[in-house]
Amino acid sequence: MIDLKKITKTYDMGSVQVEVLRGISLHVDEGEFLAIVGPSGSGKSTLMNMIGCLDTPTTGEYYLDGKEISTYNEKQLSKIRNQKIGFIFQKFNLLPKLSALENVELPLIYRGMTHKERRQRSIDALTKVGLEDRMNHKPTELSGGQQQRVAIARALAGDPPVLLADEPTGNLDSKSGSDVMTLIKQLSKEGKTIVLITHDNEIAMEAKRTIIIKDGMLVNNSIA
Amino acid sequence: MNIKSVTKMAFQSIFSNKMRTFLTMLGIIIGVFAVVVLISIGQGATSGVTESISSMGSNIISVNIFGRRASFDYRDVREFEKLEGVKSVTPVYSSNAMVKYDLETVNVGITGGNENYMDINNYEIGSGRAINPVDVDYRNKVAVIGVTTAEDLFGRDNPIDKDISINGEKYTVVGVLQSKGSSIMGDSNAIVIVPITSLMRQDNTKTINSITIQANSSEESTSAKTNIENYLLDYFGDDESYMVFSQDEMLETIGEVTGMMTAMLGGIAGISLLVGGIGIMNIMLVTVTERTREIGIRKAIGAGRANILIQFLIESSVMSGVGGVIGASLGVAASYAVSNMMGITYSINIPVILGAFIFSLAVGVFFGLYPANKASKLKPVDALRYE
Repeated sequence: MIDLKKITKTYDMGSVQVEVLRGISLHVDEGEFLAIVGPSGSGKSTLMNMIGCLDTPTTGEYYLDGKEISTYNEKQLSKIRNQKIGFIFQKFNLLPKLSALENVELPLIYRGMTHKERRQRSIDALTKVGLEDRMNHKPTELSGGQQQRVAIARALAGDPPVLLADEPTGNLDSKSGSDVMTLIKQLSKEGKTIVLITHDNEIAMEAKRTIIIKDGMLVNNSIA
Repeated sequence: MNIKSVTKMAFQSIFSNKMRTFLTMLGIIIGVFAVVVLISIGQGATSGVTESISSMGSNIISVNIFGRRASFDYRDVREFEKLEGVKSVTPVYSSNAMVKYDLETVNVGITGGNENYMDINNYEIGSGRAINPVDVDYRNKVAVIGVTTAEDLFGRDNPIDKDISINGEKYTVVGVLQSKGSSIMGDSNAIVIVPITSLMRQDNTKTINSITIQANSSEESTSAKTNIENYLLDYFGDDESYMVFSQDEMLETIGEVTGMMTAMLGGIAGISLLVGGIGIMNIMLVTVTERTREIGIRKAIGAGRANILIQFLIESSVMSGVGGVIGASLGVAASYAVSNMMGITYSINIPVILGAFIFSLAVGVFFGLYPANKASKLKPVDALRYE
């Protein structure tokens, strides 16, 4: 499903070149539940941005679904983000002025879906995360756990094969955090490919495989 | 991605910050308002002036004489009638006078002419009779008055055969003119017409400085004018003692002047519209910075450059478009009110209103382009990181 080959990423900070990723090769099978663990500054967020097509590697090749997308242009990448990948962010990243339903609908709008179809799919997604009675609330009227579940619904609405979760429980209390993790595990069982990024070993234990990233390199490739 | 959803999103974000949106729109509103009002009033005034001039007839030629060495008396004026292309001629002598009847007094413009005067100036007799050649030759003290003057002096009484006093001399009213309708040049019904000979003797002058000539037709007015000029050059020996101009030329000159004025006013108003556009660009740039994170989120879930570009372009053009509609409506209302007050004919000028609206929309698109492009170019990863 996901195939990274010798990915490097170098940031040009004026006079200094900072190498954040130093030749990462990684393979994720379809339906796999992978956790990437590492201390802050290890490059794990950058890696996730690579996988999520939010950023492009400096060198290396990236195959998603067998297609090399490291050569894709901005327009093609936005299509990949829209159809193949669902994001779950630490800070939820909901649009504050839109209701929960409208937030979930957004990726479907960009996909060009008709009003009726996207409304139905959004309602289904919100029902799945247990928020069918909060659809018309604004994010500010929801608790952190509920906001994260709206974000998960948004990631699910487009039915992408890959879910990327960047510290999904980082801003939540332990109760909501475990709810969210339960939801993610359930999605994994349903066949989604899930890549979870965290610095919390306990959360990482939930995944089927854990890899550790340190100083921009993978140091362990073990199955937990 | 359909336009409807994007437009809805644009409206949502515009109305989420009402005060800012209103103030930004205000620049466009004032700009469009100014353009519509100034051009409408300018054109109203122009058409008012041209109407009142062309109502006198397009075949009229005016001659003004400043010469001291030679001068015309009222009989010499007849010589013009022999020129080719000329239909009729009247000398004109005007002054202001106190006109009295019984206890009523009005200050009104007095015009002396011959029997052709009324015909040339499109006056029609309403009741009684007109000035005739005998009146002119015998210096009869008779007067034809306009309806306003008649009402002022006589109220509802019949003025015919009543004696009025003009600057102390007694004249008999022989006719009342048909109502002519007022124009920007004043009420053309407040007038007293008398034989020029009588008025000049009363004022003790002999020289005629102003002559109005009617050409056979408007086609012939140019050739008639040339003939008149040649005759005058011959008569005076130089071309500085007189001035000849036709109604057409006057119309043209006035049209040029008022057209220029209108264009200038419109241009000044256009500048304010431009300033309004810069206001939109300014606020859109602020908006893009403020909403960097939102742009990042949208891009992360699949919005392409085009989606973001269109979203911000629609926001700026909705602001300018709505501002344009409000400005144009206020402008139409205001110019209607002003022309009513000033007594100018008002015509709703669709091209100007449409033009101002389209221009404001274009201003919105143009000044929205740079911020929208800036927004669409943001890299999703950078935009998401923005706090």
